[in-house]
Amino acid sequence: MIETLDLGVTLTELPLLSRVNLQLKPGKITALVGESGSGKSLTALAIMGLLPTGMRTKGRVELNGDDILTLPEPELCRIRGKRISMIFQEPMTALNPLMTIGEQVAESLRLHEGMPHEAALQRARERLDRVGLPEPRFPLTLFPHELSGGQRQRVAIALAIAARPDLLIADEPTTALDVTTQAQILQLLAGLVRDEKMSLLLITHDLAVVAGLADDVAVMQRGAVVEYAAANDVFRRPQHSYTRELLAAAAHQPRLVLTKADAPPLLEVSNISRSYAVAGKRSETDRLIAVDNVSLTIHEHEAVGLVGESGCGKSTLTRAILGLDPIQSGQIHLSGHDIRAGWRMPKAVRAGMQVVFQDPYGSFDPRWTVEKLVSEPFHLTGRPKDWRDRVAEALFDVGMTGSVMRRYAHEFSGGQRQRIALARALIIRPSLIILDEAVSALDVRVRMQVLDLLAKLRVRHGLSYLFISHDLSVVRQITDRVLIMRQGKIVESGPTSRVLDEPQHPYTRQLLAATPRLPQEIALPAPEKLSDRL
Amino acid sequence: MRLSLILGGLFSGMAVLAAMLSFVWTPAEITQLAIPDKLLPPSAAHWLGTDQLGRDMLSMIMVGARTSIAVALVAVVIGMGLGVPLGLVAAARKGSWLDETIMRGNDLIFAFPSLVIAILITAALGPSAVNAIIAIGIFNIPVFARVTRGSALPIWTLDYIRAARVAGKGMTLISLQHILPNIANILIVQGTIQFSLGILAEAGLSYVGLGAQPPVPSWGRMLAEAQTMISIAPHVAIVPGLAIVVTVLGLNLLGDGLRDALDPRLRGSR
Repeated sequence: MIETLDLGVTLTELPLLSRVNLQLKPGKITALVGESGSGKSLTALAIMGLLPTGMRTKGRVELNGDDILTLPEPELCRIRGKRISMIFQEPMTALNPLMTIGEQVAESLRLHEGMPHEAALQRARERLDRVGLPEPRFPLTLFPHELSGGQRQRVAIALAIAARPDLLIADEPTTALDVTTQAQILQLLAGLVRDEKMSLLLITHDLAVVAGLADDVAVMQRGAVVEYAAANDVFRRPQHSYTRELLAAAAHQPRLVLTKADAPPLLEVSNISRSYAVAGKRSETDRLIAVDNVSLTIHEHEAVGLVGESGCGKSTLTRAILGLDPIQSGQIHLSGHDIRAGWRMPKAVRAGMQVVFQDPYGSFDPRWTVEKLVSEPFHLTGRPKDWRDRVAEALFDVGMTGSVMRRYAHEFSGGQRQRIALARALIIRPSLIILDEAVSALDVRVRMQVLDLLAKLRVRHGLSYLFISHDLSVVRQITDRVLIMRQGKIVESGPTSRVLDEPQHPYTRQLLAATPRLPQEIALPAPEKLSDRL
Repeated sequence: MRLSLILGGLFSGMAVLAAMLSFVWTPAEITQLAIPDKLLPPSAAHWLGTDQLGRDMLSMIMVGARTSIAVALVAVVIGMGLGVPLGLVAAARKGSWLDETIMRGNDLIFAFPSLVIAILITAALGPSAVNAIIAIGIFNIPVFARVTRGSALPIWTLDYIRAARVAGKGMTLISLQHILPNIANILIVQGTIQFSLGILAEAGLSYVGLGAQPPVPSWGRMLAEAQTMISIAPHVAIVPGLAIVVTVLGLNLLGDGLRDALDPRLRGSR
């Protein structure tokens, strides 16, 4: 058993983490939940003894009663990977691209158990079978690039459990994965914990992922564990106000926006297709069809969700609608104007729509001030004399006030940046805003605020949204209609409540089943008080 | 604080100052030969000693700095002026025939070492500092084109470029407003590296007699001429060698410091 006793981390006297007491028992899953910056990953690194230089630990981390924090580095190396192991969020970079998956798993066994090469490979085979990568489909000689994200995460898990560790730390192991893949990986982890009697420390920002999986839940806020109890108690009888806030934010429903029944169509996409040549193949039949004969309509003042997993073609569709990439057949009309990709699309047509991207970090030129960034779309309409006032107004609209205009994007948090991105989209008053996974990277409370803001702006400015997401629960919160996309085709569409409550297509059902959910009856504080405090 | 910026500015500033000062004043006339005073060690009269023809070394170094800096600077300007726009166009039109033409043209130039180009030019136009500039400048073009294209490509895939396209901006505007400022730090560092390489290249070309011609002094030729005297009067070789080392080091430090100072993300973080 691994136990942390008053574990703390300081950076030059500044406490980053304090009084973390966790008991990680064999065969149990402990979830470490909190928003970004709450100290979850720091806790994991402290247990592993992998803190960045300059940080010091306090307290004890006991492995079967022995403190491992005081051990010298060579001994820690023997514990890492053998007794305590870890997997990370990004399966794309967790594996060495130049080594076969078999060699990578075997390497860990040779290092830790001194196994001969042949025996290690044999054990690697068995471990890969265990994580759901069986022969003959997945020979040991595969390279990481030949696998999908979920399969790579499986290899990373096989690598981490190769030496049968006492504790596996999983730091946001499914955040980069699709919902169906996420469900499979979580199931795999739960099975491993049960069969191998190891303990799992599951770090996540998503409370729903934890529900129904974890035995214990520790909620972290600002470097301290504020609540630590059995999972059922945390969800049904949360003690700490912060836990209640998190639960409420996850279940939050933004204000209802009514749409007119006879609103005219704003965006009409009819029978568009787009395919790409696959690298190394020249013939026409081998082309990858990203968007296959898709039609959709968005009416004025309507919020439409587009749901699909990675690779389903939603990004290609978005770029086509925005007029960034050409389509090979079909037509796109925005308010009756033809949209044709290319550098010469008329500015007036472009001005009809704007976009907010997922990554609040990559969305802004790091060398531009906020006022310059937000005023960039004025390029389409000509910059008015009072542009600074307009920028201030747009920023005010999204709840950003004060001296933000002359600052740079990196000075803001993720949620603030997403507000600035919204201000940029709003400044020329487009009729359609495309939100490309716009809240996926945000913490649950910030996400709630942005969703509220979106609903408010929709009422105030009569906007239409195309809300692209992989997250069905968010789509349910904000859209009127939803389209489910798979392999370049729209497989199901209809009013959001109808599609999500009575799905017709098997794929929609599969998506819904895989979406993690919070327990129904959770204790919530009064909504008004909550928004006051945020 | 930014030690590299200060030291770099100091070292390279010294070279520039020496070159500037030499236009109005030098300790002694460099065309004045004084054979009896040859190979004197450093003294009060000649701070850095004299060379094999009795000329004052300090004056020679100061006037030589002109040649070295002018050749390297103009060569970098040529390389940047042509290479950066070519690289930006190639990145903006990635995969097109334009991109291919530009980059294969670069490969062609890269295939010839600068020394070979210099020999070609010298064969056609005769040896001179100007021809050294052209040779080094031509060699700089593909360096900058490649660095520009390489660092611009990942930026083209970022969301803020897509946002700029959604804002209706074309290739030229995006390249100038978003791409160029964001790769400027890389270009500045590359610029200082090429500047220092230019000084070395000029020294190399002069060393083999393809650069500045007598009586115009240059650090490279001073080294070449000192070579045979290194055992009897080591300072004659050490002084120009040290001048090259200090200037090149200063430029590299300056490049590092500038890169950090120009990035708003790094501002105030040290």
